[in-house]
Amino acid sequence: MILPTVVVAVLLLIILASGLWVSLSLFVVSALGLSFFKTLPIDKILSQSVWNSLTSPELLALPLFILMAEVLFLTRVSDQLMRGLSPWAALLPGRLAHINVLACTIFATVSGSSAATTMTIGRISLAELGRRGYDRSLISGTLAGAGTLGFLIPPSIVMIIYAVLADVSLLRLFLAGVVPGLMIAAGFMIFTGVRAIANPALVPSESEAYSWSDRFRSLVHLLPISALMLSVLGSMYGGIASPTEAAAMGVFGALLIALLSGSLSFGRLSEAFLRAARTTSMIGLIVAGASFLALGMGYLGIPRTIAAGIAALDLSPMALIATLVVFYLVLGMFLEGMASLVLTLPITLPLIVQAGFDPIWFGVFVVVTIEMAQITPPVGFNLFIIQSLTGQSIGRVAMDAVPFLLIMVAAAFLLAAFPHIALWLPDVVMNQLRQL
Amino acid sequence: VTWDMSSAFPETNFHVKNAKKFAEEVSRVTDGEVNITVHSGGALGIKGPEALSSVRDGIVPIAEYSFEQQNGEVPFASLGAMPGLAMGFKETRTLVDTIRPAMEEIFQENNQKLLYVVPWPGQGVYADRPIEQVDDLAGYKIRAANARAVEFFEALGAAPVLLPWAEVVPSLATGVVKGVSTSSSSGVDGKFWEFLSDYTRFDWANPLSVVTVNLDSWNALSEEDQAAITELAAKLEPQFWDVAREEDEGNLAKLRENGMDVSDVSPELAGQIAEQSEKIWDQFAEQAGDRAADAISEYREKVGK
Amino acid sequence: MARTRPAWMNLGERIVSAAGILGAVCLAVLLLLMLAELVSRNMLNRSLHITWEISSYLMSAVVFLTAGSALQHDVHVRVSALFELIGPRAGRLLDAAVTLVGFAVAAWIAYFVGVLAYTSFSNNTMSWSGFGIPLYLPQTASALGAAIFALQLILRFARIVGGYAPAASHETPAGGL
Ligand code: NA
Ligand code: NA
Repeated sequence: MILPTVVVAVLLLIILASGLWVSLSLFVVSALGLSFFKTLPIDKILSQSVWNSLTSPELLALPLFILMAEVLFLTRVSDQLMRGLSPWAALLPGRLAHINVLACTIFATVSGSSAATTMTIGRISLAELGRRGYDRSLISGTLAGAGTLGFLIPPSIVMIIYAVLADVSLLRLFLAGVVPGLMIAAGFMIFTGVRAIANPALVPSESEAYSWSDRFRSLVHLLPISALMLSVLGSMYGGIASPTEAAAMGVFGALLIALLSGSLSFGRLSEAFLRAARTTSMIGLIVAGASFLALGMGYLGIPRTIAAGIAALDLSPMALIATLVVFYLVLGMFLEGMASLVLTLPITLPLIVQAGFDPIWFGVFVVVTIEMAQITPPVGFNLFIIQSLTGQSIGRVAMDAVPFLLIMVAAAFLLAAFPHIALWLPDVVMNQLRQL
Repeated sequence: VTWDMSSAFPETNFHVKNAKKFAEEVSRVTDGEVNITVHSGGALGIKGPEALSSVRDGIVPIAEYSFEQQNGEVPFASLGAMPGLAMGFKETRTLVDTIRPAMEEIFQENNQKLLYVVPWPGQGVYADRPIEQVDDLAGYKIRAANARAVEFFEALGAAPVLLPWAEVVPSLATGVVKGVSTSSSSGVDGKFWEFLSDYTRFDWANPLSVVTVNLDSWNALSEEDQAAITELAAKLEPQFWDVAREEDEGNLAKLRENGMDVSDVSPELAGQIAEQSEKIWDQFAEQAGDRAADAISEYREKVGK
Repeated sequence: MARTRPAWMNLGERIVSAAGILGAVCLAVLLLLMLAELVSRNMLNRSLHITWEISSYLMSAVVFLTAGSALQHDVHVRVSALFELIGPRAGRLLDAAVTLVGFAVAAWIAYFVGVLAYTSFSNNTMSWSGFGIPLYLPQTASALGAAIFALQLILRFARIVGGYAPAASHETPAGGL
């Protein structure tokens, strides 16, 4: 069983590095591995596996949340978010330097993607804060870090994929991401505040003067996004829609906001659907390839081999977690987060469950590591987006993001030491629902 | 030889335990000539409706799967969970004995051999009230798993909703559906007592699970091994049915322990079920061909329905 | 300076774009179906029953029918470090090679999903849920989409080798990763 493991790993590295598209690479590696070591009707396994994975009903939330992000991109939601939050942020040490974290955290509650969150908030905030004289490195760092919250705070595209592959309750997983997400956001804000106090030059001396009536009046700008959150959560908790159907309500809400803000034309709407379909296709093909690879690995007994190898090392649970953090950090440098998730899950999930960890908890942990991958060079999606928004080099943006990366690493260890940070909320909410 | 056996059911399920027992005994009766490794939870990628074709095409040599879910491939398979036709283990035994020759023929046509058949516990209704008569179901949103169940509950005046299993527990928690129709096993798995108070034992069907082996793999065995395995399957099948009964009783006890009121179906409701489901059988017999029609009428004669 | 593309390539690119539009339409139908289910269930107390099943077929159709269009717009992800390492000339050669491999893989997937559709057709396989939906219909849509993906890959290969301009511009998806 060692030989297939080595061959598949080497094939995977070579083929991915060659620049073949990730989804197609997964298909190739699995098919080659199976044809070397097994006599099976690969053609039938392939077609059945592709069909089963893409028609899995758990996957349906994916195109809906992607569509919601594309429709929201047509609206002024992010602009309004900034206006509504600015007078409040001005109360904190560091003032508007907190805007990125606050706006990304709130926007993450309606967006399933880190890239979408970074892009939507960044295209407004970077220019605005730069114009006001805030330190460029601080604002691109806060954006890089906080943008990743799109994955951890529900809804989350990566969590949908994890729930499908790991066969866990999506609702529970979503709930489990809330507290860790807020914890990381708080960590970012504390860091920002401390930086601003330690080095007042980072924040412009001109102080934005807001009165309390300004503050309360500004809240009106937060109405659209609140209504959107309400349409998703309200339809679900109100017993109107199942979790996946609630995503459809979210798209409906986003369409309504776009319509009311007068920014909806047939051309822009069809462009949003086309772009959403393309992104769905990209992710869907990766999911199909990953399912086929997981199946191939299963037939070859690879997860069992690796699990046995790791078990023989007799690591303590914390040492195992530390190993995984390093592993995902290194992998995340070169692989885009979702690819590293689908590639490793067939091996790491059984390993971690065997070590006594909860699969829901591991979902949150893995999402945190994927968020790190978004901001580590050379391949980091959030870095690419900030680069395209600011024109700075990847290296520069990555340096700005380092403190925020370290905060996430600390969060990963906190999560490992206190799993209840993730598991507390799902239990409480499920208990509440029970008593209704 | 070593056969990889696919089971669609989770590791802790009683069908998987039965399969492991079967695998163990096969090694024994063939003196280690035939060994079976059981892969549970659909780990080999075979999770439901593709099981029959997967064994047929040799993707796996042997598999355990729900017969009823193969109805898209062979319409006859709907008899594996026909509403109101065989209610409870006793009638299900008669049904299986009656349709077994036809099942064997169908599997033969699909390049496989039937080894044994074991039913699931009966399908009942989890609700926030006891279901004593058909009026208690009027307009009631209840999760149903497939078209047959939908027809059945629509005939009873309920409002069946088809939802994927993954959406059921949250939907139940938030009230998207008010009740669920499934077995005592699934009710315990889903901890339905957290949301609902009553389980009424409709036993409107005991879905059949089958174990079949690919004929190419089978024919490669020696005649002695074939005879030993056939004999073993026949010997173990009744024991596995006892396991299913015990499973049902154990789970009903768990439901009660957790505060659910478990009740049998009232005579009045039983009459209404029989009356309503007859139409479904007739319609099915018309569509599914002579083999299915003959099987149904032979069975109905035997049990006097 | 990139050369003007020949007519057959333009036709090919148009077929790929059209399939992409069809994919987007499938996505729109999926959304409408979900919303219709919500309206019907909550206002008329009647589920449409087939919503989930049809939606899942639409999902597969979206993924395959739009795959070629996604490649046109450079949405599919890959590891590009090697291209940057080896420079533009060797990079173009490598790109042509992996595109050709990609074509082989996509064509292979298209063929086998096509065989799956054909088997469903000749066995008259229906969906398992029992609503009598012939499986070959959605499977054919998926196989067709995969074939169009393969078409886009071969067009891309011809474009690189022939030194023609790309048909569409790169995009960063707002909803993507
Ligand atoms: Na989010
Ligand atoms: Na990275």
